[in-house]
Amino acid sequence: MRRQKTDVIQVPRDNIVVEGYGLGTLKVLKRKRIVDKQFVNLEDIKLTAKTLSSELGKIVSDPSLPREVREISQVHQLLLEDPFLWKKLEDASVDGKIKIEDYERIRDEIISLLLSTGNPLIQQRVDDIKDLFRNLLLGSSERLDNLRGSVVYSEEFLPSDVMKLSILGVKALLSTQGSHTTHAAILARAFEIPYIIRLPNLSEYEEKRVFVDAVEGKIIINPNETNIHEYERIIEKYTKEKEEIEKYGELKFDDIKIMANISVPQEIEVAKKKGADGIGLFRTEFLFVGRDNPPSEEEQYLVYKKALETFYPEEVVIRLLDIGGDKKIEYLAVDNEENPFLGLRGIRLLLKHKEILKTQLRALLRASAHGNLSVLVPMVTLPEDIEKLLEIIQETKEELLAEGKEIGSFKLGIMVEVPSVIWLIEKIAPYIDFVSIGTNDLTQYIFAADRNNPSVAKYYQDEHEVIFEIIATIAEKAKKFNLPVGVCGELAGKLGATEKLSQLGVTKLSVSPFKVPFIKRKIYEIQTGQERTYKG
Amino acid sequence: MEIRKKIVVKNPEGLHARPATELVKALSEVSSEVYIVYKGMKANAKSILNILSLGVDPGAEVEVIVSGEDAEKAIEIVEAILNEEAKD
Repeated sequence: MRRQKTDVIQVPRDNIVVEGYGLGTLKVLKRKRIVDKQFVNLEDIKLTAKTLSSELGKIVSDPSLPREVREISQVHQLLLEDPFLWKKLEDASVDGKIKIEDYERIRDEIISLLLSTGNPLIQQRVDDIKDLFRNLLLGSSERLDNLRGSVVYSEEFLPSDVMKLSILGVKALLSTQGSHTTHAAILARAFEIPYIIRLPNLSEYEEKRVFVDAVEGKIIINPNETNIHEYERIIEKYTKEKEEIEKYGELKFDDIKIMANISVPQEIEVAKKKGADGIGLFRTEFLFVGRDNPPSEEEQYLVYKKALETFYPEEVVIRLLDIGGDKKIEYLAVDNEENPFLGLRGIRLLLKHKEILKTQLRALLRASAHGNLSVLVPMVTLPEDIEKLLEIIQETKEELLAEGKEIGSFKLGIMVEVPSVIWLIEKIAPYIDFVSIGTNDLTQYIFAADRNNPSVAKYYQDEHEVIFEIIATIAEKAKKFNLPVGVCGELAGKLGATEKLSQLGVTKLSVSPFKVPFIKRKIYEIQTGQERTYKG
Repeated sequence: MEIRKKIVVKNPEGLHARPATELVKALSEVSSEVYIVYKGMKANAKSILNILSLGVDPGAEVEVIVSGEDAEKAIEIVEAILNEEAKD
């Protein structure tokens, strides 16, 4: 039976790769079947490689294109000319022909070589290899014209798909696979095409009208006419705003800083471009997940140092590894817990795995010599957590100094996300330099509602009066100790909350890089009295 | 002429796509053979696939082996890219 009713698919924020809105007919990207033939001519693919390489060469040397696009095209061009690849293909050819199964075997061997590195950033180059082998067979002939102007669903997008689809003016990209750091994701970001990953299979909705909300996180299938008009208005407003919004990124305010939340290194440059006054939440999980061993001290040090140097003299708030709950890593085994969200998470886990904590602290302490570092501790519940951590920091400092390593200074702060801290903040305050309120987890724990569980969604209300009261309480108590207060959850990025948060004494808002100019404009409007829409 | 040198990769991206691309591009100008040895694996530094498959993380030490007439120029190129600490 074909569905006609409106369906809504809720999307967790983490699955939004590129923010924006899109309205259009859902079309499924159907790839040309790779081959029906059994052999491929070596000379043919050499010729194709030459043509593709010269097409990419034009992109690489076109300064009007975004830098990311040129860089990725350069990688693809080098892949097309790779001596290792051609040696393998030549070795596999007999009388100038390669069996298709051998061709695919070579592709899979190269893919497993990359996968075996155990490095997530290199593993994500696998889609470039798939792309390369497809394009060598199909040339640039694969036509996607039927997708022009639509919302496109595919299991996965390869980098060249995104290039072609951007030319066809597609409204949004939806996929079941993918990640924030693939070349397809970087290209979608460069072309500003809304992109959501990790979705269920959407093929059944082919040819249906869909509205993609890659800002709040939902996909509406079969919206009614009234809603369509509403969505068109949203898109029109957003597009207009986007055009004029960039200039607000340049603004600086004396009493409040608008900073960026960063989950992957690629976002650092986006944040800088959007005008962030520093990084308010640098999540370090990307360094630890998807690999067999934790990153070395040196690896972490170089990454932290780069973030600090990029934003110097602005502050960079780096959060200690926040694993546990729904986020797991294989080499940091946690026994099965009945309630992982109430289990071994954040600092609780780090204090149990001192070796991981110390390596991260060593890297952070060394990096602190290169910028304005603040270290943020997740999931603090009791003053003892901080007391224990301070002992370990002291021990680490002494070790580094004894080794003759250069270290700078840094500020230490805690996430306020566990309700106990609301009452214990005075006891913790003497040990710390700032607090950052993580409204996502805080709301979850205050209302005892999992924010990813749609059945209890109505209980998860981060704009509830209660949350503002808690923020007011924390701000008031923190003030007595001269501790600056920031908000780094979703609430910080909600325009309706900006004025209230600033009135409550919050001096730092940390939001997704794309939101920085929007929030800055809001602050500007509030401060110049241009707009007073929030009624509390 | 053959030169062997141990180099610590200070590029914060390790030898991932961007620095690997730079390396291959820059080495296209030298005639010497250039190899990078990491964890017992040896890769042709003029092949982006070979370099990526080493999976060199930032902070790791690699051995670079160059041989050929312009070996000195080649080692300079490799060192400059591997040591590049931050790039906009």
